[in-house]
Amino acid sequence: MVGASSLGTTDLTILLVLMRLGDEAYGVTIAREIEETTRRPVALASVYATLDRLVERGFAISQLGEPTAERGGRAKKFFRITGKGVREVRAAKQSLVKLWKDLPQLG
Amino acid sequence: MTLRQPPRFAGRLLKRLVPAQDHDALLGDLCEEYQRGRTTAWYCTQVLAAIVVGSWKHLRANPLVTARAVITGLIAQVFLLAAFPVLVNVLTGAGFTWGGRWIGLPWYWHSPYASSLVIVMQVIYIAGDVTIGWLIVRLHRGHGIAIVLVYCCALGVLRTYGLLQLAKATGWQPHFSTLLYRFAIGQIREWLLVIAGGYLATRPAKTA
Repeated sequence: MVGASSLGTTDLTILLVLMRLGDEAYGVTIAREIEETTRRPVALASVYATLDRLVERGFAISQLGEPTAERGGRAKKFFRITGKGVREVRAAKQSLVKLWKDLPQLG
Repeated sequence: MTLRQPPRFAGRLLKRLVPAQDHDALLGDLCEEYQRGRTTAWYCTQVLAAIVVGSWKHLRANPLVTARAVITGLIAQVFLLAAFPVLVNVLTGAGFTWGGRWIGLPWYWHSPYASSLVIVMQVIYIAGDVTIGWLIVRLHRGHGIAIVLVYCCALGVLRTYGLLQLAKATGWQPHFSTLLYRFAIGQIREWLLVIAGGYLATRPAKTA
């Protein structure tokens, strides 16, 4: 839990990644972005579990793309952050910034 | 461009063990990454993670079903324990009591009786555990193998508790280390048999 926001660290990370990727956000690109940022391997199943939770809470929406042969005939599931999601991220940021201000040694 | 074929069994296993969720997008992503040079080991690890994450998510979302499955398994276990001596006597041909009289059976394994007893007891144990696993999943179809794993955990906890109570009541005896070893082996064997029974009751996936 991050301050006044109800987002966990993973939720917040994925919402930020959704904002960064825009229309190109689906499982592979989201996992890759997290791996590049955190330098830690990510299980795609964990990414989907978090995305499903965010969709259930109304912070993100999903939309199916076109199936391709490269994906074994399966469609991509694109995700996009909602207005509610953006507000939640903003609340989380404000809470974190307040905490940062009280800790001058962190700069 | 030739497309590499990812291991089909892994996708089928995921759909069979976690049937309540839609895995198409995830399997599509895994397939896409596999085409870009990921190894078969990576693919299988990701599917294994999906089974664990999906099962855990499903159990958390359905606590009542999970509790019912555990109770079903425990009731079946009690029935098995109660029926065990009767089954042993009937299958070895020793007989059974009827109207206060002991009735012998024609297929009594006269020689050597001890070996027939061991064989029959093992058969009952194996069939009983497989049946319990099968029954749990069969009565909770659509919930996958995860509920069997919860039953296994509950059984392990109960058995460990019983063993600790025994150790507490009698004090630590020198033979307890052997007992502990046999307990662990027996418990693992039981888990595997129950899981195998549960797997038999899951429906095969139509597509991978």
